[in-house]
Amino acid sequence: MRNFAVCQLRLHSSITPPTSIIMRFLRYIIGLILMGAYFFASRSWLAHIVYYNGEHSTFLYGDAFRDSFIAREGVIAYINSWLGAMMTSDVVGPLLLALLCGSVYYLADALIRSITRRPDLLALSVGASILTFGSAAGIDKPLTWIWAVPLCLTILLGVAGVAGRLLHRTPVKPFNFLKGKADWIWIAAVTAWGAWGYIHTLNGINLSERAMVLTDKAVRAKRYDEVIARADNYLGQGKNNVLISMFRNLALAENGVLPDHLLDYPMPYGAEGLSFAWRSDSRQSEYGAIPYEAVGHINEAHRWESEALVVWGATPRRLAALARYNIEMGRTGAALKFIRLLERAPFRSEEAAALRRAAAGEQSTGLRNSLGCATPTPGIWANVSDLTPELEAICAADPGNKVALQYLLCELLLRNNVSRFTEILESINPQGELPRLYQEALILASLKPGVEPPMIERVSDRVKADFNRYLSLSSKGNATALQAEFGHSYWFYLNHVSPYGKTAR
Amino acid sequence: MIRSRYLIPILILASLHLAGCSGHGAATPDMMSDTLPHMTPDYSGRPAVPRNIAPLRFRIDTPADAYQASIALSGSGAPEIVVNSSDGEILIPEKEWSSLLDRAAGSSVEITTATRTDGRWTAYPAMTVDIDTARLDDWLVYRLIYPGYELWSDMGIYQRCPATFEQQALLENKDAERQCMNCHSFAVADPSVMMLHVRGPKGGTAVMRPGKEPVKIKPAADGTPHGAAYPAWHPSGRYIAFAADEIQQFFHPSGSKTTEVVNMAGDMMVYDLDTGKGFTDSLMSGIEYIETFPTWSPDGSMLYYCRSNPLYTPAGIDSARYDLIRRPFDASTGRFTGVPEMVYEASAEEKSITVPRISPDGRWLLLTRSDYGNFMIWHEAADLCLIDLQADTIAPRPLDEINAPGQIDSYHSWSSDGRWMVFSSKRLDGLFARPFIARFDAATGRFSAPFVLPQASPSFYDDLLQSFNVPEFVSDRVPHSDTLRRLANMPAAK
Repeated sequence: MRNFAVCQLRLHSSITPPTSIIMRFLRYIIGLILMGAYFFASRSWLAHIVYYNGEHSTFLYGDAFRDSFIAREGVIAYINSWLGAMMTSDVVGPLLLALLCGSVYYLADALIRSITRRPDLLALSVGASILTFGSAAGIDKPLTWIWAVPLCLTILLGVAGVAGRLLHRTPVKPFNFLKGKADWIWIAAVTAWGAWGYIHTLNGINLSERAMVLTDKAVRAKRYDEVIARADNYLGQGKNNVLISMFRNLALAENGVLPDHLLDYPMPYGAEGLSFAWRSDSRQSEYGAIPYEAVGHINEAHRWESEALVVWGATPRRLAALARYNIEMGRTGAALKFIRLLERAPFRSEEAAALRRAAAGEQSTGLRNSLGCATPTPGIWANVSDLTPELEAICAADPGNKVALQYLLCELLLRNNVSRFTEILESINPQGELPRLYQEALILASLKPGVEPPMIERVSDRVKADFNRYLSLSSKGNATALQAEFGHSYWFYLNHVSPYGKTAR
Repeated sequence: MIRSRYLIPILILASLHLAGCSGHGAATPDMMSDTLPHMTPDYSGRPAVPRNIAPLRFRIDTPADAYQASIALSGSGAPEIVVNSSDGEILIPEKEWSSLLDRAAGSSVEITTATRTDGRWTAYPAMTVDIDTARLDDWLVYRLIYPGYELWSDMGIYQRCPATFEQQALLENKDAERQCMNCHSFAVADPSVMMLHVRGPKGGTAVMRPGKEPVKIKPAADGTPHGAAYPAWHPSGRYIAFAADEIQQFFHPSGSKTTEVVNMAGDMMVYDLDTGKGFTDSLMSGIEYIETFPTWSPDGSMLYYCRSNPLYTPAGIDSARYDLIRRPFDASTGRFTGVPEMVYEASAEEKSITVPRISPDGRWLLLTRSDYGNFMIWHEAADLCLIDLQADTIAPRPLDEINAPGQIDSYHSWSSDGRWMVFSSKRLDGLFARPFIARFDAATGRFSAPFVLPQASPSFYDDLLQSFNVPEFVSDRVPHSDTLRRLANMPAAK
């Protein structure tokens, strides 16, 4: 009879109003909302973090790799490397982040309840979850907290659970003294944490960093219009960044319009805005290969990538690039070594399979190897600080290489070498209207005394008139007006921006 | 708690499982193959190994469901060791291998492999490995570096016991402010007599000798404008010969050969550690020649080195050809007693030699020979050659029994008894240098087939993206780790 009465009491207690049902399950729904938010954030405004981690992980499957990695860097670094590797996939990575950071909410909530025997009124579990997610919201931040926090909470929860059983703890009690306002306090706390997390995360994003990473991503995916759009968005704010400039110029060259837009933004770095000269800069080593690959200078791209291997480790990006370069250079054995390693990197099996086929000669690497794979005899040498001699060799060996030709002519102009530019342009004698940049340079070449003005007939009357106006403004010393009207001209670059002096040679 | 009625089946299953792991029963083959399976590393070719070498672990790459290797004393038939594997990795146990080698010393062992596919076993021809009665030096010292050109990050000097898989760090650059370290060198394989260059903010040459205070110096001599580079210890442990070279790198814009490391200028000097002074003279320094890569005769009476005509333009790099020179030296006075003498004029044959190394008995001289230059780890045409210094005519014999055609074989050094030689070879993949060991027969002047230094994991060389640089045998463990660390972090004495 007593048991029947207790059952009746419990049955009546379970018939609760709808709002209480929602409140009861809201606790679980919030967790799902958090996971959804993390997943969305990882694929949108924090997409650059996911991409960067994926591209910079050196994780490989296999016991030998695991043992040597752990012996060298420890278990924590190994787990971080694995987690970073998962971010190679822009679905799996964000999903994993969402699940791990979302689980912090559930675990923390359960732990607070277990210890305090009260609900988490101040939604500290929401805060813990958001803080965990925020701990990785920067490309220089380790991923340790992402997995360590859920792990620690799980352990603590286990301990608390065992302790609770041993101590015969009481059930979790609601905050009756708050007279029904507990749920609203909790909702307010959740909202406050959510708002804080949103603002804090957004404010914490390094926009320059984001721009660079996403532009890099677009370059490597050959989405050149996107590269130009992102670079314009960045440089259009008046910011200067040699890497963004380099990416933009590469994309312009791939689209065939580099001379038309080379001086859209100031080029205070000169030729470095096209390709880095070698200065033992470990930071630059990560990107230095890109323009060399674009112009078909595979050996130089290989050298940069080898240096990047030393600095950044055997990331899948490095392995794939080195495999491709070595195939082009005729070093199949070395290429296969990199391919075998790439096969063991997460989400890279298709790429590795394609490279294997390329190594076997069954398909192309997709690269343009303008100088071929024969070692020239006698030896000519790569010039680590001035690319123009090699660009000339590339254009001579591969006349159809339009990217290399644009690079050659633009680099000569950026280096103030108007004479050589003119000689090469005359030898090529391209058809149609010349880009304005070239016409501006030809006018300067025509000023050289004792020499017949080269190709002066290819310079339009408009450009000639502008040059006269430029000279007029320049002679009046009106720098503001000069920059406003001619800031994008080659004349202004030569006289006021070029790091190679203020005169043409 | 396990109920007793389950105990016996569990024990049977457990014993079957254990038997499967390293069982004593070799599989009965259903068919025989007449070719070997693809293996990594490849120990076929009948190498001769010392009796104290670590197990020659390898991986069978031929796809199969199961793998097995049986190892038996040659002629005995019954396998002494049977290793089963599900992934192809044949992890020969160390203790059993060591015991087998003790019994096989002076004879040979046969390694028979088998694979199972669709329930049928295929057996492959046996590989024979000769087991020498001689022991190898207890330790091998080398540098591990990434194959970059200028930047470096992680690098270190390590010592490895060839009898086990144990590797210890002597000095890693993470303990020395990320400075570069190179050219570790020992006198007559004595680990207590060691030097090492450190390049960086606290650059200098660390020197350790028994009974002497460890020092960090900057060796120099009047008449040698460039810093001390490639070293060679005099067997007395008092002198170190240095090549004082101006070294530059050049890069090929196309082709498979990427780099040239060139001595733009070079002189030879000797540093007296007791007086703290370096010396040279006009016969070994100056602009008339470029001198590099010294080595001493085992009795210390002769300094051998490489010498070429000077370069005038970078475009002439492929015309730089080094000859082998020697000059008599009196250790008691610390002076050269004669003029440089041509030993082998490689340039007359349009060849160039480098890294001369003389065997401990003083008769044999190993060198690397190529078409030009002196830094041949980037030259595909580089091969090892041997000179009999007691022959009437000095004529290098290409070591066809060792050299891999079309692959880079370079940097060699002798074991302390001259019975073994270790050299760097890029034959495994064309890019990363690995240490290969070969046995030398002083009576015939020939080497046995080389074998790569065995590792605990057969996949070790697949994963490793560092090269083994300057492998050197030492007779005992190098005890200087702490001293090296201290010296690396202190400035050189002025």
